[in-house]
Amino acid sequence: MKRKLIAALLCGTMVLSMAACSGGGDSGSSDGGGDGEASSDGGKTVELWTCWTEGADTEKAGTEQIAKWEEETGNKVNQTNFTYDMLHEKILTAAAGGNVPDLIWGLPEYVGEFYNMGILEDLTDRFNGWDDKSALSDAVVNAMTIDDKIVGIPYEMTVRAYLVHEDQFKDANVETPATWEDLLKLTDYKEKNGQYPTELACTGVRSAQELLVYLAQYDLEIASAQDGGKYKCTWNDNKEELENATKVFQFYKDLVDKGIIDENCKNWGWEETDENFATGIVGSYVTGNWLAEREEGNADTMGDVLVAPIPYPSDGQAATYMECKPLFILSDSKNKEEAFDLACAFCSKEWQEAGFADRSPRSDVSTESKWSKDFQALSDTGITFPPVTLGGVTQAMQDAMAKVLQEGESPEETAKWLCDAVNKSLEDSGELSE
Amino acid sequence: MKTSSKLTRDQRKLKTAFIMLLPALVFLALLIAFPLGKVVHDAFTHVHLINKSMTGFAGIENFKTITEDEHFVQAVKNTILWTIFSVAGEYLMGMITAVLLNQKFKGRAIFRTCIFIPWLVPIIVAGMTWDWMLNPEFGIVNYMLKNMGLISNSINFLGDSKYALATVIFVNIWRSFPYYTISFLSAMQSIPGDLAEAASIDGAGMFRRFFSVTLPQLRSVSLVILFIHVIWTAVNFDFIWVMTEGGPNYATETLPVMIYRYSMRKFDVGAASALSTMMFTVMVVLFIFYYRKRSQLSEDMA
Repeated sequence: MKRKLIAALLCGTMVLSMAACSGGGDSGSSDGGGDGEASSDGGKTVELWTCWTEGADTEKAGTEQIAKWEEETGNKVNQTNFTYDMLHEKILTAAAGGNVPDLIWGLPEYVGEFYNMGILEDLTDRFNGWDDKSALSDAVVNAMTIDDKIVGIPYEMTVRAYLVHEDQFKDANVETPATWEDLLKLTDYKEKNGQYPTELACTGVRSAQELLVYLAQYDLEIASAQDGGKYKCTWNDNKEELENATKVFQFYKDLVDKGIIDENCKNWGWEETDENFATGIVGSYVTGNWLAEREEGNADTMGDVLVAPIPYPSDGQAATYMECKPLFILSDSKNKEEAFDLACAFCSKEWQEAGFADRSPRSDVSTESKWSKDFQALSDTGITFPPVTLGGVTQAMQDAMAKVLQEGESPEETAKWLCDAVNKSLEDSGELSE
Repeated sequence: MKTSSKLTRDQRKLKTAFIMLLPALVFLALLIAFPLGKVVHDAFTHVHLINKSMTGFAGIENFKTITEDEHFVQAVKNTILWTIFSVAGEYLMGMITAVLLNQKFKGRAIFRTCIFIPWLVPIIVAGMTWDWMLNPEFGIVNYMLKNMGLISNSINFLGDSKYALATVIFVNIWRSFPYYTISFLSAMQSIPGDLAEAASIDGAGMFRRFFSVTLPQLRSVSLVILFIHVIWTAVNFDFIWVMTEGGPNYATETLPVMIYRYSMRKFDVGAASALSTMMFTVMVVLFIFYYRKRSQLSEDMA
């Protein structure tokens, strides 16, 4: 009898443990799980995932504004911070397990992917009823739209610029390059200055963003919209497009061959390239205005930064990457109204002025600093990724760069290969136009 | 009359044993058997996180996708090299340090403690630290090599496909060998001192004593530790991911990294499951080999 009792107790404990584990999504745990649970004072608890730089102004402003929103609404925010890569992976697994947060920061690259996965809430009606929507330009709203549905509320917008350490360039008696040809003339810069004039990211999503810009400077799209709402890379069907894509990869090859960039850049991602520029290891780099946050920490090397347009080919056009970052509400969230309210608060004038003054998607928020004014001046030439699933596409773009820079593949063969690889990826995700 | 009263004593014992084991069986079924079964099931099914039109029975299509991948053969080679050289290096380093630390010298306790430090460092910390130390621009390793006149130009240890795999293996050995050291050290301390003494009296030198007395006594612990580490190393994902993410240009991509690429970058869960199933099968074969070897060793020792 005693043994049976013990066995029954053990079984009971086991069942309760299992129930506790599986019920994680319904608790207010900090590691995920949208919940409908009320906070202790009667409001709801919104699960928020952010990707701000810890210790930077955005975090300080964000923390203050969240506290203020909690006070005003009586709701609670359970906020967890990640890097974008971590957040991306965690949301994929969380979505597969049906245990998602309510509101997350995202990158524009995620729009097509998350939408196709069916994990994003359609915000069109809520957005149309939002008083502050007029503060957003059409370009910004378009960046949040897919299949005529608004799926995000913007919280940050920036374009890329060509940042130059002006003093370094002056010391080398070099003008800021305006074209690819100007840049490719800087062959003796390293010899004179002991540093490379510029650099490239060759891994991670930054490398694909940079390549996208150089392709756009020849009016090329990595995948263009076709009839029927699907997409295709068309270079291999169009001789002129293939020639132009070849020129882009030839440019990459020339940058290394002529010693304009360090050949060691082949495994660099944004961490290395931004660090190299902020610490003055290279003379210039195409990056965003978040580097303003490095002015304090690297005062001795960041004081001479000049903001210029990205060099473009003399037979091409100016282009830059426009990054309009969305806040997503997950379709499985149980606190959609509260999450939308918090997303709107993120995009409010007060919050934007406090945390994103230099890089706000709102047309009524900006500063007189070069990080705001000079960057905004470039936004007319901004381009973005097409709204397709980008995991395989951006990987193919990185592989193409590796083929040219590491395997010695010819630029033309690489361009053909990339076009095929992009179309294969679109086919796999069911987005290829036949 | 109650049914239990009809049971014999042995049957009642069996029933009690089953009831007592039930929680463990439920636990195993839910947390091990179900995920494993799901992976095997998905390996033969079209499962794609994005493309909802990919559904239904796939036959061996997912296996074909994997074996026809242009990086598959390279990933298999990398996995074999990564596993063999990592485990061999760790074994060698572990054995040498264990023998040294088994000698009597001043400060032995401090050295024994210090040698365990790399094993205590979390993988992410070890990986990131070595990543920065090996950086060709401002890493201390290149700085030292240049100052010592051994190289004139910086070596891109993790960014050059010639060096990347060897570098990651080296760092893995650095991190893992203390586990071997401690295991060997504890086994060595259980070897009766009079065995070595007798061999010494018989004229055996230092090396002869090691190979004829010490090493045979370490057969059992060696087999266990080698088997465990072959499995751990072959399926290791985090260390390579932290240091190179499988790059440059797939030069360090092993099968677990490839599984990750298929599931989290290409969202092709079916193909990722097929590769997982292939790896799992190889591991089962290895286990059977180990089990037989282990049984044979036990019989020999008996």
